[in-house]
Amino acid sequence: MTNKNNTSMLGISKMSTLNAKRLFAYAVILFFVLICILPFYIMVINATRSNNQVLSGVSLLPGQSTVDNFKNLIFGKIDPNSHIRGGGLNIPQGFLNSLIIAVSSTVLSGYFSALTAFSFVIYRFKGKKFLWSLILAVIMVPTVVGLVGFYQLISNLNMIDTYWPLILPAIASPFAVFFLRQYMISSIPLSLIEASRIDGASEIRIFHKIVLPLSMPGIATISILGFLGSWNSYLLPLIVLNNKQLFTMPLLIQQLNTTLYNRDFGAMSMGIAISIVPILLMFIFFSKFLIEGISSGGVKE
Amino acid sequence: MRGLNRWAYLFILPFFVIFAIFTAYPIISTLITSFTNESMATMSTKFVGLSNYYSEITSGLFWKSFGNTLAIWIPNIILQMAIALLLAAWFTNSELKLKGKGVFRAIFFFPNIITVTTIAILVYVLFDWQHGVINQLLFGSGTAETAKYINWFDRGWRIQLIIGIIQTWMWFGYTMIMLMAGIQAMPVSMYEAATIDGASGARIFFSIVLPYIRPILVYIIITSIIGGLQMFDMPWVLFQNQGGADQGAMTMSVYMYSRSFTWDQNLGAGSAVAWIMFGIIAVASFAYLKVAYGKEDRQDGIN
Repeated sequence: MTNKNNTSMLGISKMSTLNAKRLFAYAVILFFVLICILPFYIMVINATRSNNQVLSGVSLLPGQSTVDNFKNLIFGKIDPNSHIRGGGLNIPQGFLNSLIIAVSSTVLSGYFSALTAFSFVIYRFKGKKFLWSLILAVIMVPTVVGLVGFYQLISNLNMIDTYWPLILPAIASPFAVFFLRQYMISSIPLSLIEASRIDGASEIRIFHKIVLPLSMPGIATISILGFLGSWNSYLLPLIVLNNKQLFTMPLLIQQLNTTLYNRDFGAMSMGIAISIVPILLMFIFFSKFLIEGISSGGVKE
Repeated sequence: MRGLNRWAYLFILPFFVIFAIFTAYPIISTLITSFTNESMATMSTKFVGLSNYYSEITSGLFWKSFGNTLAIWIPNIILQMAIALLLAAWFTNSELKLKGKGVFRAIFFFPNIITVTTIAILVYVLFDWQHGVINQLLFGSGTAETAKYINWFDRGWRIQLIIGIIQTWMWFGYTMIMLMAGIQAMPVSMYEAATIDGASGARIFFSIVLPYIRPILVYIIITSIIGGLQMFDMPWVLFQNQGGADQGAMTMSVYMYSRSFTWDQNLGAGSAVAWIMFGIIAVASFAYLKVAYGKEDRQDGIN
């Protein structure tokens, strides 16, 4: 629209170099788009092709072995020598396990992080400054520093092969508290809280009826991040869980690499494709929240 | 009003109780363990002073894992920053006026949220040297072509480069989004003044935009130091405790995990490794901060 008018002012040569630049930029961007999408696309396509088809070359069109791959992935294959079926992964169970852990920890983290952040925003209390710097410091502490101690703790508490060590720590999520405090400072009018106090509302009621609803967009953002963090977590479940029935998706997917029939590329691709589905769904519905969350973090640091 | 403030203690109680149990206690417990010879293989545990630290610092394997970690991290951070800066500069360039920013941003971000375990298996399948897609795409799939196939995982440096590039692939979108947010927060007047002075796009980017977003650059690099030097998931899923060819994928975290939980299940030695890693990460972060901010006073702390 304004481009047309600018043409005469800028002169033809400047305009065409600009167009050339733009074309170049789009070409590079397209390259990165392909790099980001193609591996997943090929994987989804390979999930529909037989092992032999996958071995014989790349295809951009689906095959007809979807059901077989799914069966081989979950129930394993029959070994031609011993005639024993083996190597299957209980993906539905893993899905359920991951869902239980991720949903519980997300809910706990959302609620308690909001409660903690709220306290740091509106109250004045002794030790506030110290506790706040503690929270900030811990965000920067690498997780490996407590790994052996974490293992010792949960084995002493007899929590090996339970979900408690993967769920309960969500109550203390320093980054979520940090994020929500920033969010609340800019989105909760203190005058509203004062007014409700005068109306006789209790502090607990103020939190539940005013602060929680007003902070919902912030809580949603941090919950999506928290859910993904929990769903994708690998190191802690690896330490806590030995029983295969309890395995989360990342632990099961890892077995694609070590399991007896790991050379079935169709079934492996199926495993990869399935494990991406919930993340893809979250991405489709919530990518806006996620990107806004990251962006706001960037500006405020 | 004063009475109301007491509610704060009740409200923050759950956080700090769980924090004390699951975060603070394990960190202290790891520190104490690092001064003992505790092992899952033997029953008796005794205090051994600094000997774990001494034997790790003089251990070739530990420094090898340190070198491996850097060999993965350094190419990754350089490549990732270069790509993210270039794309962020283009997307925020007021002359280019690129379209579809939102969609591209989302697509570039997508690899970041996929489970690392899944990515690792994806890499395993794509880079498989006999039947992987990468070789098929590069060389074709006839008999003559298969002779040229590259065995991607048979050299330590190749493994490191592949993992580093995969890290870049996973993180350049995230970094780009942060940079774009920072650039877009710049007051328009800063651009205008420069444009009137006749500065070129590249000039404006390097002498006005980059200094303006320096806090974000620093934040990205510090978080990358902390995360990158701890890298575990991908090298572990791909090669477990052997670390692959030349033990190239044995990062510090893989080494630490292997010492603690697989090889000799030596929790004492593993704890010492963890604290040495903490030291390295802290020193690297502070050294970088020093370089980034130099002698300048930090204008604004947190709070």
